[in-house]
Amino acid sequence: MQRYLVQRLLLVVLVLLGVSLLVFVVTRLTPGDPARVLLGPRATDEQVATLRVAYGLDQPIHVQYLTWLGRIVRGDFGESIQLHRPVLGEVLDRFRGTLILAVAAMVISFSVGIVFGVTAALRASSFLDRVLMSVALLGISLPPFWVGLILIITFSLVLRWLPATGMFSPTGGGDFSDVFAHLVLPAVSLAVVPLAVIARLTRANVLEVLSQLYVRTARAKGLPSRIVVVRHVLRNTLIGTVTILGLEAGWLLAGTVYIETVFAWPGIGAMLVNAILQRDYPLVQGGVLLVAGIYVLINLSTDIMYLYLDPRLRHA
Amino acid sequence: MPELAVELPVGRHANHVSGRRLSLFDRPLLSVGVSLVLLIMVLAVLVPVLPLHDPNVTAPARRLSGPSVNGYVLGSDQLGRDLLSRLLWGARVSISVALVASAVAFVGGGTIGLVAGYYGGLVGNILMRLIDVLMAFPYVLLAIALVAALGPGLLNALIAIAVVNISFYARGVRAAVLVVRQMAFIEAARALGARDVRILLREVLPSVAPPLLVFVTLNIGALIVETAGLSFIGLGAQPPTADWGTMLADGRQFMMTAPHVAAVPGLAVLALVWGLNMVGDGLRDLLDPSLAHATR
Amino acid sequence: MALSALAPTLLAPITRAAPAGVATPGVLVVGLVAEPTSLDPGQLTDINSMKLLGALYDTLVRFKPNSFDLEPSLATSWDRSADGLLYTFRLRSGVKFHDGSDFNADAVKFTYDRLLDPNHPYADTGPFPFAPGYYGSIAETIVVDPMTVQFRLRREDAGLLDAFTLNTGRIVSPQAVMASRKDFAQNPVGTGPFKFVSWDHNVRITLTANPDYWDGAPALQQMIFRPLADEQTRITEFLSGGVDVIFDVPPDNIEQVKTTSGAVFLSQPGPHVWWVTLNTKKPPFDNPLLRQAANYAVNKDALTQDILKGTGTPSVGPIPPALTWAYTDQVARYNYDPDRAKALIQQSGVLTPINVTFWVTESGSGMQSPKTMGTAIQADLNAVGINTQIQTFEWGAFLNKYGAGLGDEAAMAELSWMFDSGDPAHMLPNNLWGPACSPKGFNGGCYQSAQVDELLDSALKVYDREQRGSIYKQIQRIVAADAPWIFIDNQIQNAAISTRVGGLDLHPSFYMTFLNRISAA
Repeated sequence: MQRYLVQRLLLVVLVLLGVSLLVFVVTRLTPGDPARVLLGPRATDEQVATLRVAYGLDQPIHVQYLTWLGRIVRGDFGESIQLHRPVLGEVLDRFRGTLILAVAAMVISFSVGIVFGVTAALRASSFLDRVLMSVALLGISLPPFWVGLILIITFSLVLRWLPATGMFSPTGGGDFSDVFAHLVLPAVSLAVVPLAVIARLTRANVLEVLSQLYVRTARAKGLPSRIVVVRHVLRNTLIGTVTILGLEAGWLLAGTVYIETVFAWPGIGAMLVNAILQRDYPLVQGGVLLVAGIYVLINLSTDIMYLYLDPRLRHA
Repeated sequence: MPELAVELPVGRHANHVSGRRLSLFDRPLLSVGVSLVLLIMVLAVLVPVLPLHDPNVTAPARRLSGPSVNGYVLGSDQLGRDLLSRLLWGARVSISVALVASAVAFVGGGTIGLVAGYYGGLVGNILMRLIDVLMAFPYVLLAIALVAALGPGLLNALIAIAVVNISFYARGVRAAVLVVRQMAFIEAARALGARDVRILLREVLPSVAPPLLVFVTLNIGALIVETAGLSFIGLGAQPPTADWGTMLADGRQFMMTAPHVAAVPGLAVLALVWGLNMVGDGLRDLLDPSLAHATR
Repeated sequence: MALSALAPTLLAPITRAAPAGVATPGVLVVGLVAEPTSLDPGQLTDINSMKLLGALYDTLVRFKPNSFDLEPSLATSWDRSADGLLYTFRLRSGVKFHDGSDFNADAVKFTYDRLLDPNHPYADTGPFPFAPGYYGSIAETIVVDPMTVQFRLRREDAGLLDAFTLNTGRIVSPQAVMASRKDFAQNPVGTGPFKFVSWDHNVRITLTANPDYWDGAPALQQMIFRPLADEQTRITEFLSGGVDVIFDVPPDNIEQVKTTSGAVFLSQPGPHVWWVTLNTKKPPFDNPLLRQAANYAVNKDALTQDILKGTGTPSVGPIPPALTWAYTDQVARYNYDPDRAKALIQQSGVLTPINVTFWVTESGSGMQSPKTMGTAIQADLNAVGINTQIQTFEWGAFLNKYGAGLGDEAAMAELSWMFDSGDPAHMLPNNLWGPACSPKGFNGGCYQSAQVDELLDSALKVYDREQRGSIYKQIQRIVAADAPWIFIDNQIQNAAISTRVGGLDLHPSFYMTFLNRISAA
């Protein structure tokens, strides 16, 4: 177990190194550079060249990479070119926004999804089952940003029940109920697809477990069915659940961009997209590293959970 | 969201039918799905011979007309172009992009997964680490950067989507191969002295193929939505080409004043993806009757 | 039948009265198109961030309301030596920065030295991208006495006085810069009508009134700026009362704003030009007949009326009508005439269909609706036999390509410009001057005209407004005749404001000005 952990941690470092290299290469591959974007059409070539020197962009690329890497290791993520402030602060700030949104979406999708899934499985092939699964199928087929727009129009413009955008009200506000009100629509939009997926997967998992031999064995032994359900079904779907959680967290991390854009939610997805369009190299590099790091850590956690939950895997 | 890693009904029952196979007609939803998909496909193929307005002719004075106004069956867009025509022509573009991207990702990712899963060891490890790096990288960002680097155009957006999806296929195929690898008939083939490549192609691939087919079907729908998402951010088909994603993105600006411009392609995407998902579900049930059994 | 009658009702636009909602008397909430990048005037390059600067800082001179004529601001009077190389400014006394320090000649010298001298101890609070372009002619800033400052120039620069109205040159508090160094960008201190309170990143910037403002205390108590990046989001927020002011209402939402009670729609011609650069170095547009044909082929009226919904007016040359002193429309005109276009093409002997590549951008400051406009232009050109292929790029990639020049790759590219200095001297040379042929400058089509070059140079040495104006009018005539561009439109800037807001007028420079005169009930 110890050795496994150490191995995995080493791998984490390796993967992150790979990501850092990839992001560096990818940003440099995109045509144009921050100096040109900053100056727009208002500058001569000379002025662009001078500005590039100010940002260290005239150095050979491996020098730039190593310099940046050296600083990262010491905790210095550099300064955003567009925003004129430290990358680390900005990235963490924006990540907080995404985290709030992602957690809310996970709570919604998980709770509702599991309920749908378990209900459908227990009432397999009934009308309720068909309805729930059809709704779930619809859920997977909807583009989240489209859902977001429809929700805004319905609940903000027409019914006026909820605010349209942002995380706070501009004057005053900022307290829990204010943020909560702003959170509802984007979290629901984001939750639609995972909810549907979880409902379907849960149903499949529960069904599979129900059909496993050992359940029948337990029943044959004469145990009351409620204990059977609670102990065996839930315990063994926990692995599937953990997998789903891990996958969903990863998906949410990557997929909040569109929702953040539509709802003007201050999250890291929108920040990264904007940063790369502005060629804000330090911000893109820092942001990607953080997101990748979190993603890798989530994977590590789910794998460790597996080991804990399924003794069979410990000897794999 | 990739369903693959969790539920691949691999191997176990694929070659052994335990119980009555279900026919298409026992599953009404599946029939609806198949019909929907077939209808859209047929229309897309027949588009050049259908009596439609030119999808690229602009008529600024008649822009944003509602359905059945000014002679436009579904209305017109922000440049006065016929929505029905653009929808059908766009179907060809969107569907082919999704199919080709899917194919490329499938071949690329599948090969990687096949090799990594079958051989394991150092090679397998390195390959999967590379895939890990690709997966850890925020997907949208990678797509944007690729399109910015490669230049404009649908082809490059296609490449971006394919590259980004390779990791899903690689992971999924590898997982499937891992399960299959243990099986008796593979060991038997080995014992009989068959070469690796032969085993890969003649034994492993056919066992893995059916569930993969299910996955691909389910994934194409996601790819269509992904293309729309990229157009939402501004990468994709060049004007004046219509594709559903660009139409959705363009129509977004008019959601309040002329919602039909976004509603029409939005509903089309919904219909096709829904149909594909139903087909994928049905395929899965057909290929793994044990699950279907559980529903009886 | 019934369905087609029902459909329009079901799909009818959503209009409701803007609610009283969040609005607090004395507090104005402004919706911005993006999060401001910095509040240090020297650092800024984007018009959006600059919207706040007029609240926090002042310039030496400023434009009068609704015009490009100059009036005193922090400087009360000024003159220029006979050889044009020495400017003397007398400064306003009794003005203090928000941190209590005095405004004086030292502050002016500090401001401009920091921008221009790379060896200045606080030059590292930069970089200052626009400074060399606008103030590069200044060789030295001299403090004569606490209320008098001089600028010695290294060459004649008739556009310098107008350049002093620009955001880049707003006067900063030396004491604050020295104390905060790089953090000054997050903690601005100036002499303006509002003081900085706080900056909640990506949420809001809060300013409070400066009761000691030299031009009169503000009627407002607070100004709050909210970044709302998404266009539809911004409009939604305005309609639901979350913000009181937004600029650049999307053309298709204008009707909605106009019919919403509680909302007022303002518009004002802006110093803006949008055009399509033609590659004059390669066929087909090396031939002036074809360039003229392209101009006749495009239906600019339809574009501005139907697509831009009146947020632009057709333009006739490189100088916009808002710059009244430098503008003339007595030039060669290219009204929509596709038959004439075809005739010209025939006359030129070039065989149709002619294949050309057109670079279009996805977005960009001042680009209006770049893809839609590009597509409409494409359709118009196709109709006369100029077969146009569009290549779209996002702004960063687009600038990169354009900056390198159209070269062998493209025959056409769209671009736009905002003359916020109110002076053609800061734009025309970059785009039409021979030596500015890309990649040296932004003359992407490499237009060469010895006459225009000469006129551009001479305009920098003439100081009388009228005389300079006639030189620019000359340039307008020549360029219109040569047609190195397809002249498309001049943007009309607009704003949607809540009826509770008073005293807000749009200024032709696109800046938010005279903020102390705005009130909110």
